[in-house]
Amino acid sequence: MTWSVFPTVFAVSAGLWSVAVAGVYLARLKPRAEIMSHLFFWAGMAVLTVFILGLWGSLDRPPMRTLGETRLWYGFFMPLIGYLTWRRWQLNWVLAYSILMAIVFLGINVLNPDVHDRALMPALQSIWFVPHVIVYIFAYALLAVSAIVAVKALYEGRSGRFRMKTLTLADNMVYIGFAFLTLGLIFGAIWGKEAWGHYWNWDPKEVWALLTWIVYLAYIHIRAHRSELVRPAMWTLALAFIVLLVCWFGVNYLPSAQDSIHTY
Amino acid sequence: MQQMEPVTSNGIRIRNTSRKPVWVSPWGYPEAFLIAAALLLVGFALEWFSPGDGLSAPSWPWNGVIGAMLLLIPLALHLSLPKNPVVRWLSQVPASMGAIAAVTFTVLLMGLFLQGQPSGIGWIDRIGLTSMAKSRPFLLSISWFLFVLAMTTIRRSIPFRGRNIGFLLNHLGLWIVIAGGILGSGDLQRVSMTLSDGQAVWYGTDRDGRTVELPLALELQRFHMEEYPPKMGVLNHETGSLVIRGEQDLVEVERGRTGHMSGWDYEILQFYAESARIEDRFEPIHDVGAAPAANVRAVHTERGDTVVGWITCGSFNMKHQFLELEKGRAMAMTVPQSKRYMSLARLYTQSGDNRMIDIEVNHPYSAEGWKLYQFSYDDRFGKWSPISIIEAVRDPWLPVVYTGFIMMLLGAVYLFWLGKEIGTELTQKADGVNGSPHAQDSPGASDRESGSTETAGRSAVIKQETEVS
Ligand code: HEM
Repeated sequence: MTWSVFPTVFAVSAGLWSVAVAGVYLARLKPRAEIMSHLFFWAGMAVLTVFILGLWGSLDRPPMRTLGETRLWYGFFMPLIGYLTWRRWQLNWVLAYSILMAIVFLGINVLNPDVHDRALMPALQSIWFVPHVIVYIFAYALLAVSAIVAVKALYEGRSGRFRMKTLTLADNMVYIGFAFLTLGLIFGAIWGKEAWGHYWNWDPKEVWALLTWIVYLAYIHIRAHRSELVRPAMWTLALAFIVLLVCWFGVNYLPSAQDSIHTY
Repeated sequence: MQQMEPVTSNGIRIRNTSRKPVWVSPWGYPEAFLIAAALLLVGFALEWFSPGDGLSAPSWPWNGVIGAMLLLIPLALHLSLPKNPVVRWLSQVPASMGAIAAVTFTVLLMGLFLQGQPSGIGWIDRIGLTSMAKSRPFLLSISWFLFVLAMTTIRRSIPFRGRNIGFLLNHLGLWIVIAGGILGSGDLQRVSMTLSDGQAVWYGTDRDGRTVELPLALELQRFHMEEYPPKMGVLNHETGSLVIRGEQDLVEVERGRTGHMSGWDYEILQFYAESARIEDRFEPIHDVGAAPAANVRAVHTERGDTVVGWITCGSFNMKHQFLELEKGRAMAMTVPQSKRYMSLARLYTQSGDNRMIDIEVNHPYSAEGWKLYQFSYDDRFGKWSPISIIEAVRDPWLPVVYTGFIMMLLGAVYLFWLGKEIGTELTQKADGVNGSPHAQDSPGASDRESGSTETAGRSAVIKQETEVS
């Protein structure tokens, strides 16, 4: 399977997921519609999974090399996290939001297939490559949801309808997302030792990954110390996601990244 | 401005009307940020007045001594002045946030300015912005960070409680990684060895060009590279640029492949991965300088005109060759990308070993306390490179850093696992579900304050300082 079939895969998955979201909101009127949501959601996931596996097979390497390929994984994990969050916390909008994000990210791949099957250079052929990338993309997807939760909390605070549930949700996502960021950093470091001779080289991508990690660290500690300081904590969380985006996409455009070894 | 107040039914909501002046006990955030800012200022000033090559960690035993001091000073402080408010403040979140902010600031500069090369703008280079990792402001902020982190970790480890294990794994693990990494850099050696056929090399050259003798020798038998098949595409050489439009327009060259490209139907009649030009043909050979070549037939989809001919990307001693399709357009082949490369070498060690090894990218070889990495080759020659460059690395502190990594990995698993519980606990506190001073005495909360006898006192402080906006 190659990228040529992706527009179809995208249309089918996006369609199935949209029905799933519609079902979630319909379930308010007709509780039985919820079953439909589960079915359509998993059908959409299945289609995307088959595509990813097929692509992996046809490329003969893990599809984690280019920005387009990382967006593919993002579009895979985002709905999954949204779904689990929805099941756990009964928050319909989280499912809707994460599916929307997934559609946007996968849609970028349809419109702008910067997805050419480039060969996997020797330094990337490591057992650490797959865990490193998957763990990071998973963390990014989770933390994206936490950012929107932060914005929601700020909005709720402003309109005087603040709900504790929102805050708890943000905390949980950050704890799990941060744990994954830590795994990603360490896997990356160990891999760097095997591939380039040292676990830390102050490469711009490393620097920004560290910055991202630190901002979430700050959030955790602001919350741990004085949990009644909600507003600064939520601003930190929203800001953290901007740092994360710089780390993911922006680094390549910074003057500091002229000779980075990272390609995505 | 509308206030966000999760707090509903208890005293925490009280707004603090009597703001505490700075530097009056108990310290909080203002003091933390003032100290952090002062450290940075001093650091940049020192950098300005003592320019040089930047700092580097001392080597053994001095880095060991510094490491011991970094542990013993906080320990002594904690044991001798346990009740001192400043000592206690050092182990609490505000001080940490100040230290974290200072480190973040220096790392942010590192992330914005190109490191390692002077910018040419005098003051930027002079205050260390282009070599932050070796600058005084970075050294000062990271030292302060380690100090505060040690104070925090020590307070929670004495007396030791099983409940704090997750906290210790994360905080002590991080401390070990950072301290071990920075101090260990004083003993880190990285040298490159340039190998060429049949010569034993027993020394390397470090980054400053100094020669370092090694306890081992390497003799290159053969440099070996495998390549991906080359690709081909239509090239617009009217513009003078040899740029093919986008990589998605390239196809992998493979015998028998047919397809359509820029108005032409093509078929690859023949493909040799290694070949040489013989008059106007190509023949397979396996020899230095051989290059991939393909015989291609292209038929214009509408006009039907046909061209047949050979294309090659060439090599260091063979010129590349296009297949002219029409004016300004040609079929061309790209230089293949490397798939894997390695050095087959004979290793001699001081302890008398003598064996054949191979060193491949991502598969370093360890001997005599050194790790040997396939680093580079002469890329003008590609797979026919007569030399191979090996990097030899010795990092005696690696086990220390890896111990920290393992602790942090376990700490992350703990965090992941406990995520919900901690979240809930915090929430209850903020929710004011049990926001009375007793909240601090609930099992979770009092454990967070272990080592302290003033839990209720702390909650009073929270009340007094609380200001939500
Ligand atoms: C791997 C990185 C880190 C993680 C995962 C982490 C996690 C946590 C968590 C979850 C808490 C609150 C829960 C508890 O008290 O057990 C906490 C508390 C704290 N952390 Fe961290 N932290 C990290 C790094 C740091 C750093 C670098 C500092 C200081 C520079 C720091 C200073 C503190 C302080 C002062 C507390 C409050 C301790 C107390 O009140 O007893 N932490 N940390």
